[in-house]
Amino acid sequence: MALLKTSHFTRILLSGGRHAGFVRPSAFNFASNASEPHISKKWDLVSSVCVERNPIITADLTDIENKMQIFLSKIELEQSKKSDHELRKERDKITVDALKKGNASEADLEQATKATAQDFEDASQDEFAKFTFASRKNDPTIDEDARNIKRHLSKHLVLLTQQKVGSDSVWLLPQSVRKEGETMRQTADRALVEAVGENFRSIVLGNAPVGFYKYKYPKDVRDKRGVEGAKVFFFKAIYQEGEASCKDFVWATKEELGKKTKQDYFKSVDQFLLF
Amino acid sequence: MAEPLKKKKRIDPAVLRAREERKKKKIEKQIRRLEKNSRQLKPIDELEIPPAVFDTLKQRAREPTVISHEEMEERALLLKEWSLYKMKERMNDVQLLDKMIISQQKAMDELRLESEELYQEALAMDLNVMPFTIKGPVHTPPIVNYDSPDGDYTNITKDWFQPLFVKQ
Repeated sequence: MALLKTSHFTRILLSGGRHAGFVRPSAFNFASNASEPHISKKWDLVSSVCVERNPIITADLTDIENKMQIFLSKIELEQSKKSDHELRKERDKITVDALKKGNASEADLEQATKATAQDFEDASQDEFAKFTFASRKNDPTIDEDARNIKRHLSKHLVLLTQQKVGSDSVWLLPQSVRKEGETMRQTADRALVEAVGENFRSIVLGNAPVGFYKYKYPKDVRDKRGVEGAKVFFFKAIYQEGEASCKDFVWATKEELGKKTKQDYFKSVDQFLLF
Repeated sequence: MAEPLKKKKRIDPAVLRAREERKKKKIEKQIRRLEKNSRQLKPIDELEIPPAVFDTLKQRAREPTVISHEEMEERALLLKEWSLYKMKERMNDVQLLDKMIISQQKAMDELRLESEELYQEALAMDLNVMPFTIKGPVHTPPIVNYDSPDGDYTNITKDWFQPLFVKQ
């Protein structure tokens, strides 16, 4: 299990941090070779950006949430007092009955000709019925079109691009190798612009990376370039607006992300996805 | 010109004591008055029933609904189910955050191992991010090319502002 190494930490957090010995995360060193002597092998530093399109509409309520909602509205009705509108409705009903029986006075007749509370309620209901909201359910073609930003309105989507890594084309989050003099954040910004163009606007959340992935190059590349492999640092961004001007891109749900990318790559990405 | 120094009149100790007593009593009375004031319950603006409603409270009472035995049992079971569901949801949320924090910590540790300079630059605050606003999901998606009706929109929601220190 991925959290086995940090079970103590997990237990502390699960207890709501009220544990007397709450330890800050920085006390643990999660670096892979922290215990080994630092042999200077050369690694390419890569910045990758995970652009998230947040859900546009709320997700459907689950069964139990539905039941709870019905229950809560019943309780609310039972414990409430009558509103002005309800009192008016009752009074109107009494005058209408009195009129029918013929016990009405002049004042009652006058009141009956005015709009009753029921009329007001009906008019309000009609106005509400006339207004058409946009549908919560998409056309199935929109959901199936992987490049459409409006697919799966109630889900989180992640931008995936197809890039050439070595000799293969691989589906992964837009990434780019760090050039001399750049910070990792600057590399990330450049990677995004290179992948999806200038029209695409998103906010990268901070200068610090949120995830890490390491992979070794094949032996011939290692020997030719003298570089062990690449260390990928993930940055998180939130999509604002704009079109992705890229040949091969996809707005992927978490399941699609799992299917399109390599197992261990997905495992690293899954660590920092909050959905 | 200095007159020969007046002799200080000897005040009767009983009178002195009476004077002290009176002063003490006065202060004690003031203390009691202040304490009485603090014991009184202050009205909370949000919980004040509007007087028009308060006068017609009897008319507004609903007939007590009769809840059958089955309904009561159903409700009790639903509440239990709900608390279990919410607990699981909470545990899941905590685990997600847990995973995220560990992931970031690992990334920072690895970056530090690579280069101290890059690590320090990653630690620096990004001033472009704040102030950060994001609008949450809505119930229905926005209508394409919606023609909003003309008119002013006046917001009359009450602002329940509680000052930190209330003047007595």
